[in-house]
Amino acid sequence: MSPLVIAQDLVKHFDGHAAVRGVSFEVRCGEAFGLLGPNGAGKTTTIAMLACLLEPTGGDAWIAGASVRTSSMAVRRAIGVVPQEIALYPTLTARENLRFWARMYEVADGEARRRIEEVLDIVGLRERADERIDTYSGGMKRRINIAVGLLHRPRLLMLDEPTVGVDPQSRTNILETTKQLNRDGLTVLYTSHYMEEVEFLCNRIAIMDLGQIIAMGTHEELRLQVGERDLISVATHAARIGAVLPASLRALPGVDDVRIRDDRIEVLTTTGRRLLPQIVTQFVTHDVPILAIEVREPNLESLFLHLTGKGLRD
Amino acid sequence: MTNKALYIAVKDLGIRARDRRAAVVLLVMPMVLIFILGLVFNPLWRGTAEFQRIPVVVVDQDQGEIARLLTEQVLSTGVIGRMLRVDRTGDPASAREMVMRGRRTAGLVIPPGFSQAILTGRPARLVLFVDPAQSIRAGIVYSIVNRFGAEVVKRQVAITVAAETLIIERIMVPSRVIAAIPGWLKDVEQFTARQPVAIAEERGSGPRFPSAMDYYAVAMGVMYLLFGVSMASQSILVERREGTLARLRTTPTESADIVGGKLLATFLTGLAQFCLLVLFTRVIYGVGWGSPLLLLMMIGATALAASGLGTFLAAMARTPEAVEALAPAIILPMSFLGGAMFPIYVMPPWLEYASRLTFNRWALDGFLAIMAGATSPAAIWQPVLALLAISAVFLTVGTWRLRFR
Repeated sequence: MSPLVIAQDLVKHFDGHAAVRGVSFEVRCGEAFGLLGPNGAGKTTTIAMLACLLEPTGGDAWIAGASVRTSSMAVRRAIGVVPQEIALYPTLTARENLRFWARMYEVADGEARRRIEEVLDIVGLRERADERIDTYSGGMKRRINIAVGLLHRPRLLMLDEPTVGVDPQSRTNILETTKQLNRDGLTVLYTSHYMEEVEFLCNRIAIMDLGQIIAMGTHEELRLQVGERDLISVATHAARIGAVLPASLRALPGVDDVRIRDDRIEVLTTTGRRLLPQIVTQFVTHDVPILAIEVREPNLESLFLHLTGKGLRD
Repeated sequence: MTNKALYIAVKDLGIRARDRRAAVVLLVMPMVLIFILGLVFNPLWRGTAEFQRIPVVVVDQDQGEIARLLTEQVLSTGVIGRMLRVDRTGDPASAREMVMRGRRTAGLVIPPGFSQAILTGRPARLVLFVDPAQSIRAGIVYSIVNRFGAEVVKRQVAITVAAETLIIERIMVPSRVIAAIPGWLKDVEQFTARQPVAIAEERGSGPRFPSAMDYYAVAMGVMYLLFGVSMASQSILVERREGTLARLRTTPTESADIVGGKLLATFLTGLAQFCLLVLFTRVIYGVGWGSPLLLLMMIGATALAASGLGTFLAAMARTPEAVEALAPAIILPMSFLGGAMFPIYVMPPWLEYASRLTFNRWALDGFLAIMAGATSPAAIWQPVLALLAISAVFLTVGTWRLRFR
């Protein structure tokens, strides 16, 4: 797949302070790409440069072949932006908001009428389209916020922390909607400091901190980058463990280490859940009862911790 | 002006039309103020305010026919009666004291035998005390009394000549002449009342001086127009704060369209606000605004200049709250200096000159000229030009700053 977005060495300074320091990445057509990082990592500034809101201090980016520096109008026609704020007019109805934004996106009137109904269906708010935005819940406002970005059938949808401050139900709805849009072929660039969201949505992820990308790749690639291992913890009776079972477990292919902690045996492995049946077989063979099994896989949170020494929400 | 600027303006007008708070502030408030100020200051405009009447104390020691004519007719009725506030005392010394202490502008003493002296053709004398601190108002009282004296002398001379002729020519004996004099005086009164020498007086059609209600309809309208456009111009700052401005800039919309749309909305808000105020004051208070065509020209120029000022304010401030704080600090002093509260013609010359630096003064001049009956654009070219110059300067600076921020 050809890249729809190419960011090349993007730099942004504010009053001498570097907010983004040489960010480069590519997003392929149809891909869902995530920018993950804590607040202040430079995600929103990167998105703002890609959306032509900020002129890069250095570097350039191309969206659908158009440079953000020299062809900003072509870039704007190719993108739909869902900002962090609820950028809507609260005293207008949802339909009036959508009509206005459709005009700003240069959607012809007849087409706009159809698209407004379509995007209202996508976000599930057609029945309440004629109510004022200021009567909506936070989650509903967020959904209309997304609908605006879809009006002109953009080639790339950029969502900047679209679930901030919404209830769990609306959050799930927003994530499911975005996932479905991506399944339908829309390229998505998603920023968040919620690891689970990025993991759920994105095929590839760039982890940002202090204005730089510190790691990038698929889930598997990122995990391999830091060599984190899965931990399978089996609870049993301490008196029944003995010496044979641990030795048998150590002999299994893919097992790196076996530790005994009181009434549980911990197996460290790089092959994860695939090893689970063999481990259970060993317990049965040696007649050691299994009281509970827990599999702890390394996630992006632990990866970020590993890379920066701090948590995503610090 | 592209379609997008028009869409932005229409959207802004739609939002503003739903803002009830703005409607109260921009339409109800000026209507209430026009009513209160018009009512309170109407006597001042007509010159009938109680405090404007000249206080005069009269001591009538004569109690005769001519003295009564002076105090009850001349000083207490007609135009002079509305101008003076006459009261009486019995003692010339206390009348003098009242004048010298500044409690009365003038004190008139009619000595005993005044009427008899007039009627018998002998010299008569009046005493007038005046407050030197109120020379102009005292001068008015002096002129009235002096004129009365001159009229009396005129009649006295006529009667004396007639009586002497009748006695010398032995037509009537002196006792019958004396008895006939009151009748002759009445004849003289009737003769002069018929105005044997007619004075052809021509009064120019001149300007119709506006009533207090008319004046404050303009003054408050202009002041609240400034408040209106300052509120309207905040919308770009509100949009910046709410994130809709940033979102607009992610759409394929030129910044010139965004600023143009905002300007158009501000101008149309001002135009609609003033037109509604004209309509309401016409219907409710009966304000006579004059030629509709000239009025439309003036409203257009005034709304444009106000939009310029509003845009300038928005460009200078960083937040809507800053405009809210800044606007009254600029609009109120400028409005008071520009004649919004007290009419320009009561200002001292230097202040009247300074008022020409304000937006309100030029707007007032134009609207008042139309109210006074102007029918040709030539009558308002100066204020219109001044307002257009104001709008050009402030719009240029304001839009320049907004586009590059």
